[in-house]
Amino acid sequence: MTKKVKNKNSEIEKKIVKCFKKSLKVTNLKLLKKLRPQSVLLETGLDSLGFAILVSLLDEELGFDPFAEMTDSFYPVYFSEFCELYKNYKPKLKN
Amino acid sequence: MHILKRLENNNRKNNLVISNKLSLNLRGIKKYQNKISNFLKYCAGKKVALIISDDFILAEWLILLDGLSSRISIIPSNLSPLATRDLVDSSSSEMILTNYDIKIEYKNIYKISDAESNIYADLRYDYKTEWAISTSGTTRKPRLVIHDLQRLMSATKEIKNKDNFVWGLLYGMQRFAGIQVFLQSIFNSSLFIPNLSNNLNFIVNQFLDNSINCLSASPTLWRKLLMSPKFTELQMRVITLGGEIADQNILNALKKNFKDAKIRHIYASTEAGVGFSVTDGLAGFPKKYLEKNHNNFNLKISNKNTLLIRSDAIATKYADSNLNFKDEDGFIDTDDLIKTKGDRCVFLGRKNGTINIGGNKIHPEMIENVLISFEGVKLAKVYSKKSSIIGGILICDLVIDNKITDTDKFTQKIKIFCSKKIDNFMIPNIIKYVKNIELTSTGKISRL
Repeated sequence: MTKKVKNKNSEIEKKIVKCFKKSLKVTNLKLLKKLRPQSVLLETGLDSLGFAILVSLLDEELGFDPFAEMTDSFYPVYFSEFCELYKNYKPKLKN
Repeated sequence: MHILKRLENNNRKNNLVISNKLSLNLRGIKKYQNKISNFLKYCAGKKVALIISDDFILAEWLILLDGLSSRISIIPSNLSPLATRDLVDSSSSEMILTNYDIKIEYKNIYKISDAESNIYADLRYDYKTEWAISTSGTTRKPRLVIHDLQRLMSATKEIKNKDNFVWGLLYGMQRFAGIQVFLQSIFNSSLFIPNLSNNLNFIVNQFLDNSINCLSASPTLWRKLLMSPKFTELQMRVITLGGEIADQNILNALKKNFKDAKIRHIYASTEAGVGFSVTDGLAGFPKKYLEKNHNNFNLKISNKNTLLIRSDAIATKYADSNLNFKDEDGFIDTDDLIKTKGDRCVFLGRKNGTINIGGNKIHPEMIENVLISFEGVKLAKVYSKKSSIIGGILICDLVIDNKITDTDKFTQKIKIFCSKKIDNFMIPNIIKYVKNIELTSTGKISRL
């Protein structure tokens, strides 16, 4: 992995954590445990509404929503899977 | 034919309803029926309002009273005392049966715990009982819709020889969707009632422990269930979706994870009943549904591009009105916008702009009025943004007094203000501060 890609991934993860905390704040929820790669998303304290807000905030921050564009449906269970989804996102080619 | 008779005819020996600690079978119901027969005789021929907070108990009493009472009105137990009183009044009930100390003054309130006696009475189950079921009450105050067992069961599927099918209940029993699952399950399979105040992972574990293999849920809830680590361990056989537009992604995900399951998405409402279902794995419904004369439903598109349904399942009327739901040809207008795409019809949303968030219907104008009444707000626009996770989230754009600089604090205050005026699901999820909101040429907020 090149340094450029590593930096990009690190930036994405920082933004995810920032938006995660904002979503918790907006929905008056608390982070139940420290966010780790193996954290189960549904056990972090974020409920489905908070999750939807997170995805919406990330859409504004990053400019894309991988869930809306996926053709092969995938629902992340762990925080690491969620981050990987965003790091591996490739925009669709427009005709 | 009333419920007890149907259960007897089906020779149901297995458990009908199960909760974490209790189970209900036909033998147990009949034993209990004997113990309370004197009280049941008092209920015979009467209009009875049920205000029961426990779904297991409610299930039992629906079985006991169908065919005996002239009307059963299922009054949600989570309403304010005033709303409860209004709904009970509209039901014309002669008595209320409850399992807790309800906070309304009414004549003839009876507690279930007092129903037993040593006096035995003969009972006659010869009524075609009306079932008065409450609407959700999300856009206007809740109203009771009059159905009967035949209408409610007109779209349930006969599942033969499926004693090993166990349904999980993810809707409360006090409204239409939960009642549909109850009626779908008890005649040929079983129903497990979890405690819905537990978190979803806990409920999924209970489903695994009880071998749940049939479930009905909204698309939003199905997405959430798929995020629960153990959910895909369930050996699903029947999957139904309803309450919101079922998109292709969720249908694909369910098919992928549960290859042995029969998947159907259902079009239904409290007023229209269960209109029709789609089992081909595709979103929307086949255009041929508009052409064929089906046995139990007809569809057409109005000149306003809304879906019209005629079926055996349509309710008679509201309890508080004599107006018929149906037009002169027997169709009910669903107010859902439809678009034809090739050989498919797809749902676009509500004609009147009502926003559907997680199954709750919301009028944006009502929320805007509340927001504008908060000091500092100049203009407000409420709208939904499509969410790939829960269908939609509620957003508002606010133009506020330019002297206000701490928008985080302002957001906190306005949300507290809203929580005192409107239900929680109507409070915008995201508040954005904007310089301007576009208006139409007649000065209305542009909703394009």
